[in-house]
Amino acid sequence: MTLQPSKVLGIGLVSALGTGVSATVPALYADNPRLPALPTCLKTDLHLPVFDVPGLSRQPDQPGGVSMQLLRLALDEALADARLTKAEMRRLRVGVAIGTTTACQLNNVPFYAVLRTGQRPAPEPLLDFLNGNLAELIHRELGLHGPQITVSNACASGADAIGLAHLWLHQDMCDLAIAGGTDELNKIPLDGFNSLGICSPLPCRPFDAERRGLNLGEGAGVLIMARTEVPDRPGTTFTVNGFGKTADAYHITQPSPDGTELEKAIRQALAQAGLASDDLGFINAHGTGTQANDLTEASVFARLYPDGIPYMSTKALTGHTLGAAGAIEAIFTLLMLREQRAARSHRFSTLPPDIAFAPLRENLPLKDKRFALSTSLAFGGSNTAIILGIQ
Amino acid sequence: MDEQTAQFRLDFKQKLIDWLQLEGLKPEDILDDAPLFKTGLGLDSLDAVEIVVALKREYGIPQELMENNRAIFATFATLADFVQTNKK
Amino acid sequence: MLFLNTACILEDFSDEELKAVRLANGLRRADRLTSLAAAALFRALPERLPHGFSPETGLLTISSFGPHKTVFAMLDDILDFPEDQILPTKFTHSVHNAVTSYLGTLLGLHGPAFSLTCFESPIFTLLETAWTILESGLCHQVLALAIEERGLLTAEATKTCPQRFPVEPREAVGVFLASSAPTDFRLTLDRAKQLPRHAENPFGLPDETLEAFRTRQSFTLGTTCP
Repeated sequence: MTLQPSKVLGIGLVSALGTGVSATVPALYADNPRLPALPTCLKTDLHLPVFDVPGLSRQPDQPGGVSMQLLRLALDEALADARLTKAEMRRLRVGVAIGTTTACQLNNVPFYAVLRTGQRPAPEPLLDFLNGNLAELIHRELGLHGPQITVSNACASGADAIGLAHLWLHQDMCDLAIAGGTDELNKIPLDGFNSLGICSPLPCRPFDAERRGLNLGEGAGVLIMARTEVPDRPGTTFTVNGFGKTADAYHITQPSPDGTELEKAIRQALAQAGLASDDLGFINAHGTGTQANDLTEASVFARLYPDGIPYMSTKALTGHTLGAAGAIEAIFTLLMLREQRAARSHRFSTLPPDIAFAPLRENLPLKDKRFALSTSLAFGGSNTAIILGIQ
Repeated sequence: MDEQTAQFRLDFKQKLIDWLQLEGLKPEDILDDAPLFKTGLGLDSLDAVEIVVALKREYGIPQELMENNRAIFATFATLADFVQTNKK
Repeated sequence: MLFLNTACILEDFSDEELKAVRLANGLRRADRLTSLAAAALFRALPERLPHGFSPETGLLTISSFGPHKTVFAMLDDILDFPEDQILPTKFTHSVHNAVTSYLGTLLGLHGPAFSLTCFESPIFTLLETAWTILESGLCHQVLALAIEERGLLTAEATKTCPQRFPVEPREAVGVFLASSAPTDFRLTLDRAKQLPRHAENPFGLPDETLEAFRTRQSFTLGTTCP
């Protein structure tokens, strides 16, 4: 069923490319992007490069931890971009949908080290967890009235939050929605993904024949979304046009190799947007750099586009930002549409024999293409497709 | 088969049952020539990485010896022999 | 308005029941949280399992504390073993969406699947999201579960925040099956209707709400203020 697009009144983000949209745009198209490096923000014996947010003075001791700190940076920028006052936010019905993976578990190692001995640890980490459900925190701090939800759907969380907000707006459950995702660099996913053997000891190479896995990253992205009737603001009008959501029901860690359900999610998003596949200018793939993910996605792209389509993974620039990925990458997609230039897929050089066509090797001017697709594939086989546009 | 190997295999079967949460099985249910993956015990890729880490922990076997060495994972017996030979 | 085919809150799951559910359904590696969810499904909807749901059925889970026992099991590994000896199965189960993934795979569900988390009004949020998904037309039926497990973390939360948790949160699973097709059991969702939280009840639900679920009496569900 076709839905009216939601408008995006403001965007804000922070990632390895920098804090804020104006730092991000040139970095998206730069020739020699910043490489990942061994982490300095956490203690680890593993030799795995990661993408941290540059220049961040980390403040972990707060509800929601560094994930909330990153989210606040993105949220403040998005609200300023949307030119919304706090009074307006309280007056209107405003929903909050935030995706995350690290901020919805209490994974503080020193806290647990004491707790497991039967002693009472200092309570602050527990209090920060109990008071740190991200959507609840924002809802409380801004004094909002409207639906609120924190999505913990692994790597699709940020995209799912945008999708749910899009549905809320369509169903008139709120006038505005704060939608996004955040995740900080954290030892738990670093050790965890390493134990699964899917972290690369080198800078990641999405879709490349020599790819060896993912690099973790951190960041946050926020969109201020509104119902379609809201008057346009000066400047480019961004839209969320379609949301597709399916599950592989295949395996707890591996994506379904043939990608049938991912393809279905993409078609759902197109149907909801009232678009044909030819209307899309490019695909911003999930493209983590693992063998399984990239192969599945590329197979689906080849089926949908036998003659090819421009596509890229921006995870070579930011790493895999987990719960933030869907939101950060949705914003990258909007920016590329605004700039009318699709960014190249960095560190791709050799086409693997089992991938039909290559991602972008160079930045590509878009010939008046106003829509693009962003895909997110979560661990456990959840597929999210978001179609974004400019008016 | 010598007694040492027989005892090792029995113990190792119990370890696999514990590590992989094969709740319904007892050691005598695992045949020596049972394939580990796809058929036989029907283990999957997640079990494979779990076994590698468990072998590192339990027997000090370095990861490099197990990488690109699919043959050792063919059956219970091939895995047990590999572990018995390489354990610290 | 949400049409409910099933709405029940289930408790008191023994280890034997959980093990039996795992064995019967090939849920070999499932942790306790996932086992609770599966066992509750089998109690609530035995005739529908495992292949009685249409593949396009949506799947939602919500939890306040999530798989905290498995998270702590992973922290045990981090504290007790070298960093390259963390067991991967613990990590894969330490995320909220592990339950959703297991249940979806068991039931062959390909519809929209979301794992959600909140402390305030989990049942309201779960059912409101179910309604949102049904209204979107992405599917015509949604299986929605609220799951809360007891352990070291819930006990410590109770000791640390007695005003917020006067008693330790009850271990319980709420199983709801909602559909687009009208049923006699209808739920109106009213966010503005605020009810006091009954901390000693599962999910903090007021007695009246529990009674309405039990008797399948159509009613208006409000939020439970913290």
